[in-house]
Amino acid sequence: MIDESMPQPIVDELRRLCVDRRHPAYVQVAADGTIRGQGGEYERYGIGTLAPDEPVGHQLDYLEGMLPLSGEAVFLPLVQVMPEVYADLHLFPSDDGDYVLLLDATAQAYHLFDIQQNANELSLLRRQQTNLIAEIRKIQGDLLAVLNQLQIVTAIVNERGDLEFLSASAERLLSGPVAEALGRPWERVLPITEEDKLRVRELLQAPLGQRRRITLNAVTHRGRHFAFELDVRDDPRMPAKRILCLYDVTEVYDLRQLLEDKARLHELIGASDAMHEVFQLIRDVAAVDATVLIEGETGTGKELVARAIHASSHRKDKPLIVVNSAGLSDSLINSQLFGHKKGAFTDASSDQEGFFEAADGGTIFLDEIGDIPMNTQTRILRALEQKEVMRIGETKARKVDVRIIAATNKSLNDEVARGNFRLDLLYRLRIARINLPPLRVRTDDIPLLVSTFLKQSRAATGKQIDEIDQDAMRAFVDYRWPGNVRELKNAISFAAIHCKGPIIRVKDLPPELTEGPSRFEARRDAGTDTEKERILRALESAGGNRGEAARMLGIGRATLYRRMKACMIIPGDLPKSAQWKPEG
Amino acid sequence: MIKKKICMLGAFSVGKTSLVQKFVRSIFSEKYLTTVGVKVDKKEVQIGDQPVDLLIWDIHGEDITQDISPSYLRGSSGYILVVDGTRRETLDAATSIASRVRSALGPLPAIMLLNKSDLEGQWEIDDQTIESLTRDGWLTLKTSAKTGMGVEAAFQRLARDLIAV
Repeated sequence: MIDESMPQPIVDELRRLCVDRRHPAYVQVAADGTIRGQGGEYERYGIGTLAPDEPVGHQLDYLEGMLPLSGEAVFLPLVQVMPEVYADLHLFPSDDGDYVLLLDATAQAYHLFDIQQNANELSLLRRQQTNLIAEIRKIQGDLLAVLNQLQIVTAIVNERGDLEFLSASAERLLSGPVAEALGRPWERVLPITEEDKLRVRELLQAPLGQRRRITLNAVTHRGRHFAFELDVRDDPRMPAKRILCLYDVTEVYDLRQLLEDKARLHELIGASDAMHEVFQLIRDVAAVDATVLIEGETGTGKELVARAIHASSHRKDKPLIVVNSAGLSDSLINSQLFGHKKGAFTDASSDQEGFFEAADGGTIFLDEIGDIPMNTQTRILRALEQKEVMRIGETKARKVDVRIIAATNKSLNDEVARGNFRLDLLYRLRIARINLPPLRVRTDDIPLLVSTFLKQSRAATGKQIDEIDQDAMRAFVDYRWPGNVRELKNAISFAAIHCKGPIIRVKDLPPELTEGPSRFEARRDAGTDTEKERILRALESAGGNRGEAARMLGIGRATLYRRMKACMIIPGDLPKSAQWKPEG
Repeated sequence: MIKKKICMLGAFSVGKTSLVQKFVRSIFSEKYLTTVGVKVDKKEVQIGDQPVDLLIWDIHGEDITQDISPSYLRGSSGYILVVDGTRRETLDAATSIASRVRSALGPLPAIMLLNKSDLEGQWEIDDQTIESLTRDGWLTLKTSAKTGMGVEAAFQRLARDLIAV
């Protein structure tokens, strides 16, 4: 019901709304804010019957403060007038100073709600997404910063071997920016040797459990050297991809190299004080041209010392002739050392130069000098004093410029006392003397020697043996090593052959190491009969091959001859299968 | 009885409705429901001996698609600006609204609520910014509609300022 007495524009609007099947309501308010009347479907808007002259604010809170109007109508859209009910409110001034509040229910709120709710939620989600992306970028940046700080080069390689990611820390290895390396095969990017590339390829193809950390050497296009340890892992997101972590160990590598260099002189190895003294002596005697006498037990490396002196001397580009006279007859050794003229003896079918002549300008190393016959000693003395040699059967002396280095495991003083060695030759020989310490007095060197020989065994056997367990190492250190470094080297070879895994254990060692030093000593001290048995067993095992038998015993070939002579071993002592043809 | 209309203003999803719900009905819901148009609520507060009926207009949040209609502000005695501490941009929105309100209604008692203090670890508004707001003349309070922290105090404070005018 529309009150026709209301101003015409309001009546028209109410009619329009009714025609549109809307459900308007209205409230007339006097200028003083009291109710003048009401109409339409006001119950829909939570409005009860209003008492005339009742203050409008009693029921219609939302009009609080709205009145009076300054002339124009006020439109309040989408006001929630009661739970679940929204209305557009129009507040009109009328000509007589009163006001009319028109309430028009609207369903628009519900459509708007859905749209607005979705829009706001989407906006919040986008913000979260932006924040997450920023966070991920920050974490990625932090991670890269850490990787770069730690000098870890990280790369991701896809199944084709192309680089999908490379950390900025790789730049020092590359010839261009990191970005240019992406998408290219790793093999064309990383400046490592072909051999190392092969190892990396194998590592990339190996199953996870079989991958090991390997060391790589890289040389950049600017010639800078780097050493890296490489770890290859699966990409957890895509198992076909690999993550390569290259840890820069250049400093460690260089330091280790420096230590190794300090602990090595040519083929000689040792970091102990005793060996450093030997190294210094070698350098000292190499600087002069004096004759040198090297003394030391069998297997201590006398020949290596001779080689180191020669290699460090000004004669290094000339020959080094090594002569082992043990077991050779007087005539044979003379012929070998000084040469002979054709027809000088039955088998002398042509002129032959001797080792002294062959070594002209260089060095001759006379091993086991204590075993050289008197006659030969005289000829050597002449060569030393006159710097000339005479071939057997010849009368003309030949000038030679040869440095003599001699070695012995005997006491030459004792040999002089026994009348077996010329005193004048001894004086001539020992102008410079180097005494090589036995391994048992430099046990500090054993781990270093073990590590070096293990590396050599790895290369020789192709077995990937990484280390020696503590118990085995203790056995190495505790043993007395009568055969010195040579015996140690052979023991490592023995263990490498017997070892079934990556670690050498006590069970892999030669039995004498685990039987205990006292037992060894007992055997050694038991006399020549026991030694004779031992030598015979070795010769039998080696099928009569003296070199092999010496290796098995951990002694040199010359020592074997000497001991065989001392034990009076003759070919008949052996079974036929192991008999040998005596020389000389 | 003194009746005072106040408006809750701010960007969308800053917690205006949650603050009103907490203040008027002591309830809080984690679920976000956007406000369409305006909801009017009422609560009586006691300022000294004086009871005051606060008519609270909880107006929809501003976003890029909709600004607050100036007609909603008509007859307002004061307003509360709400900022979501975890979203820096809602502070910019609040200061922009405040500027428009001042243009439309002149200076009115107002308070700025830095809401969601229960998530202060994730806030993008630091102490320096808050000090700067104080220097600009804003009365700021940290609130949490979730825990109720500062809610009662905020409305009480504004009501006191309203009757003091």
